[in-house]
Amino acid sequence: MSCSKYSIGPLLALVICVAGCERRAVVDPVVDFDDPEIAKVVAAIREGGEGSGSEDGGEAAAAGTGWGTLKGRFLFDGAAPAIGRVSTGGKDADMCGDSVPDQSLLVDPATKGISNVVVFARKVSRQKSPETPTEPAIFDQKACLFLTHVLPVRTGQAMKILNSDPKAHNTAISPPGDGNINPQLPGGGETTVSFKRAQNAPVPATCSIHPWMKAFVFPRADGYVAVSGPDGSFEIKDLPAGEIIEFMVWHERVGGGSGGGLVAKSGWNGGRFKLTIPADGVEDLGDIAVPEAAFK
Amino acid sequence: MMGLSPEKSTNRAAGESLRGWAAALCLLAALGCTKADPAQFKLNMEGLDPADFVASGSTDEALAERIAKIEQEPDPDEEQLSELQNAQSANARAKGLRDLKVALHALFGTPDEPFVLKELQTQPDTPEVGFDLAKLRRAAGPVSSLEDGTQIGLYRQHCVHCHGITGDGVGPTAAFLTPYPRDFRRGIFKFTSTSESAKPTKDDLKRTLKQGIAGTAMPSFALLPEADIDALVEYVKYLALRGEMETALMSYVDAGDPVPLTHEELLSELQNYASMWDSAADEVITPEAPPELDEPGLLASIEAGRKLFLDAKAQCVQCHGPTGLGDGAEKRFDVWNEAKTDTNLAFFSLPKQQLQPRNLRSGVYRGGRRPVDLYRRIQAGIKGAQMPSMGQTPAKPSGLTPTEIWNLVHYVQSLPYEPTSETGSPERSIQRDRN
Repeated sequence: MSCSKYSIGPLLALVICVAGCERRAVVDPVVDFDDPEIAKVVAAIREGGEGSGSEDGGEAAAAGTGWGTLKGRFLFDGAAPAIGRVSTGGKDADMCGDSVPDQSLLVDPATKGISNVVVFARKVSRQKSPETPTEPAIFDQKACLFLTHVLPVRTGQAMKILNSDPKAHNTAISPPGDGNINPQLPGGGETTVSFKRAQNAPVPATCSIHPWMKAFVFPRADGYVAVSGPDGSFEIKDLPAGEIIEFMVWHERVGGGSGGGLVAKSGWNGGRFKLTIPADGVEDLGDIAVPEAAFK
Repeated sequence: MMGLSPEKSTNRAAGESLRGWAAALCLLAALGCTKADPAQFKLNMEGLDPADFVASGSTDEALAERIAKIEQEPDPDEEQLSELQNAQSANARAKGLRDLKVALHALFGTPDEPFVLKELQTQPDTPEVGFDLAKLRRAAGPVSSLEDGTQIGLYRQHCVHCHGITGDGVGPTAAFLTPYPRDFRRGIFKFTSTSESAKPTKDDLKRTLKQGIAGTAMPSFALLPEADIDALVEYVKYLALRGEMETALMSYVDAGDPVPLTHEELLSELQNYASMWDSAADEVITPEAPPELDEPGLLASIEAGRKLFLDAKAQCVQCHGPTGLGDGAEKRFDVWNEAKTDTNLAFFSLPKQQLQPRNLRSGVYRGGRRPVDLYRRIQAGIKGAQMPSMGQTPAKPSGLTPTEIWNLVHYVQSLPYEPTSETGSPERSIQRDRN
């Protein structure tokens, strides 16, 4: 080809086509299913029976005895932010008022305690009280607000959803991998539901009619969940002692409002930390100053 | 080129550049004519950051060594330790993602070769329960047909352009549609005959295929043979179960836990979901027929329904608006759009679409317009959307009674025939231009 200006065109076209217009960040690992090792795992899963994959993946559960307690207090590092107001837009103003408090980040101005920080054990080898509680958990709403902001509940335990307002509300809860819940409750009405599946994070409960209403329900297989009170303190009793337990700390403001692990201390990656609880003892994390940046 | 006349040299230059273009075009065509890879399922990365799943550069052993060394120091560097631990979790997650793909491949196969565990396959005495592998094979794979005219590859022929190969509702046409095609992977279907927390029955999925969904881009496939529709229903169920299982396994990966890779563990997890599908037929809502009404009786029922529509007990007006135009509530999303983040366009995620309460004056009902369809919408609500379940159940004695629901159904049915609902009328002050 001569170096005339006409031959640049096709070359350029070729370069552009080959380079492609790809700008997506895609994570899709290439797995070679013809690889004999992988084919063996696949065959074992399909047929069942002997040895495949992580059969020995049951980590040696520490053989501990006794029970202990974990406690601590979450304090806001810095000036306590003022509690904002969310406008109701005049919806059912006689019942809801013109605005309601924004409950997504509640810091007590006096003690700097952070409310509604959830601390839970991710996996335990044994429980002090493994039986499903017979008492139902209560999830109530009044003045167009849910009365419990984060409600831990055991799988299989009955949860009573109440409406203590004069007009109807609906309570929409969509727990992943479990049955959809969305009953309309007339004023004074109630219904009873239960969860079959434990969740990794609290599940939001909302009202379609009054869209500012949002609280969380947290179904777990064990009772090792604590929600911090107005002074920021929490306590989980009767944890199995003598084994390494991974705990997770969760708050709804993390991750832009969808909730996530609260990195309250450096080293708590994803809001998680590992501890061994002393038998008949108390593991006191003390006052934990949570920086404002952790709530982003 | 010296000594050639000016015209001849221009022609020559033109001829040469033409040859250049032709050569380039042939090269491009050759590059493009490679055989396409067989279709693969895409990973469901909704709500996840891909950067979290990229392995660190170092191996697990190297990291463990460095961590051990740092921990032995008298004053360990916390920051470096935490960095190395982060790298370890990144490795674990990358490995978890590979294990997830292996597990899903083992449990469900590929778009060309579907598979279900034998414990989940239909038994001859219970045809309603489980999966029929023969039907799945008809619906899966590339489009072709047998000598007797039986169509193979039905899903790719009829569905993939909207619903996508993975059933994620992000096919090529999805970006142009309002509302988006259904994402089967959550296992949630809006228009069912079953109760509030139950899955759809096979009949529900069949009805959707045969009738389409009025007011949306979902067409009717009533002209397809019955066997084709059965095969497609089976495949939709399969994609839904696969999607639910993928989410369940992804929660292991996201948490940094090892993905189960044994038959027993995976089967037990699968059966949690499969049992919900199998029990759907027990949750069908079959209302008693309303009493035969003469005209005054019907008018009374409609009036009672209207009062209930406006009443604080039902709160229909709060979303559907006092005139039933669906203008009572704003800024709500269904569960599929709630999960979309407008900023995650790196994945070609479609932007969020708002959910509008139904305009009841248009006479277009997505879930079917039979009285029993309207009854079921009110009784059980619409899964995945905001419409709550209003009706009485054993767990919810304070709900609306069957009579109240029938009154509401009669009122809703009467709305499109009110004079104010007619289009083209000069009094358009309360008309909306779209449904």
